[in-house]
Amino acid sequence: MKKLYNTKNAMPDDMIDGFVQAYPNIVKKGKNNRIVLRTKQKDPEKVSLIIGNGSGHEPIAMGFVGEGILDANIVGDVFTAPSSDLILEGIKESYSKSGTILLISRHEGDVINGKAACLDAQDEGMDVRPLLMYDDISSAPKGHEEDRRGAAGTIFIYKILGAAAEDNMTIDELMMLGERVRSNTRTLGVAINSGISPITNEEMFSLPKDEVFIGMGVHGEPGVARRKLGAVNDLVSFMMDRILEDKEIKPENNVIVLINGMGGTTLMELYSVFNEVSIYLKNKKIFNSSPMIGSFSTTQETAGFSISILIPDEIMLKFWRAPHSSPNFPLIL
Amino acid sequence: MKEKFYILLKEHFINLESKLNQLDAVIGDGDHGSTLLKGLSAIPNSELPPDKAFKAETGGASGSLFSILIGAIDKGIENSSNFGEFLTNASNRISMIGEAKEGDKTMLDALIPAAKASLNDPKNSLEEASLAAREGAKKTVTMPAKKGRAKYVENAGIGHMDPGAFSTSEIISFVCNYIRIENEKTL
Repeated sequence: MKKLYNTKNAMPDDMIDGFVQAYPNIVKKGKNNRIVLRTKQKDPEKVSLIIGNGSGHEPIAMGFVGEGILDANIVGDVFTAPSSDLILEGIKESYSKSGTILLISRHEGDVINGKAACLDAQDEGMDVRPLLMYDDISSAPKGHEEDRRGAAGTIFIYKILGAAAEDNMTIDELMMLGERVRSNTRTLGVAINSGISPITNEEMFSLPKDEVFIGMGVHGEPGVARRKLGAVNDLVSFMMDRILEDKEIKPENNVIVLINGMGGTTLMELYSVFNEVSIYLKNKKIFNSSPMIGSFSTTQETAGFSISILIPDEIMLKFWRAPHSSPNFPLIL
Repeated sequence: MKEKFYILLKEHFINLESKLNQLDAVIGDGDHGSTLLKGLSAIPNSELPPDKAFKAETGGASGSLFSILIGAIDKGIENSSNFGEFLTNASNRISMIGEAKEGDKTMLDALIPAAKASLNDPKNSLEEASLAAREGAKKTVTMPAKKGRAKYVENAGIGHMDPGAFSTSEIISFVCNYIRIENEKTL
């Protein structure tokens, strides 16, 4: 399979170089090349919000650094969590005297290295708190939410906490708000074609032509079930039924829908998916507003998508819609 | 004294490298022995404290976890009478970071029994810790894995000893023997 690069090892660094050159007024590199920071000094009184993740999932999370969302992103090798030492460097470069929240999308390497970095920072006297994020209903059954993986629904936490931090919310309030967003978020993903791993240049999984994987991991981990692909309205109904079984949403409630493409699915398809989600919700007399549709948390050119649903309160909705200046986060209207 | 200890520990793991890699190949990516050896080799000539030198060299998640164990044995060499306490603190920290507990088929299955044994019998702390670590590692053979890549392999690794538990038991018994020999020399 073909892939564009100079050398495999240089891919993350070449990407970061291009990114910071493209948006010099918004992002810059830290002392370490793998740390992306806001160019404009953030308000020193504001809590800083940061995250580390493996590369290969862009625009997440590098593309969301900017005013109103993230203060820093620590970028690991392809599909590999950054080391705890690198995360610690990132914490130090973005540390705020009001404290720092390290967001951790729940995947083993990210959890271990992220928590280790927080403990090291706490040993040095810094107020750094890890906030674990998990939303993928296919990765553990109802009742075991804490064992679930982080998926695209974590974007709700980035945006809402980022805007709330900009509004000078305290670290304790932010942690509680983050936990509330987490408990009101559910995600289910499906994949129809594998992307190509930049590490092996091979497809990450194979699937019969007419089938779809339900519950796809962001690293190409096999799904939990397979089913015939069928028409998109049928697939979306199936997925929405699973989500609503997991988290009850009563009629007259308002939800925010996030349709995330996995890298190889067109906007034409993603808007069709959103249309079906809207129809499904309308039939249940559930409202939706301020959706986010596009490819944000990707696995190279994997074809597939996930549906994330957040049941917001007034505060969440306000911060979800707040202005921001990060390069790859879309307009929320 | 400590410099010599880390050189000997590294040599011990040169002998164990391929066995640990083979154990890891069953349930992971087959590099546990090589990763540990890489980290241990960085300690003797580094200006960093042993746990930090180890972690900086290995980088990955297992490096973060094992560096905590290295930090505990480093303190144990300096102050062997509090060895049980150091092992207990390390096991708590590893358990919290790794979201794992005893019985999950991980390094904790060697570390937690060693820490408990060492606290229960302060007089024979070193012998008891060494013995308990080895027995704990052996028990992982029949356990299904609850953490890491191992839980996705066939039978969740039942029938194979956990490489992290085995290497942990080797580190603990090696340090226990070393301290005992050094203590006898000074008597």
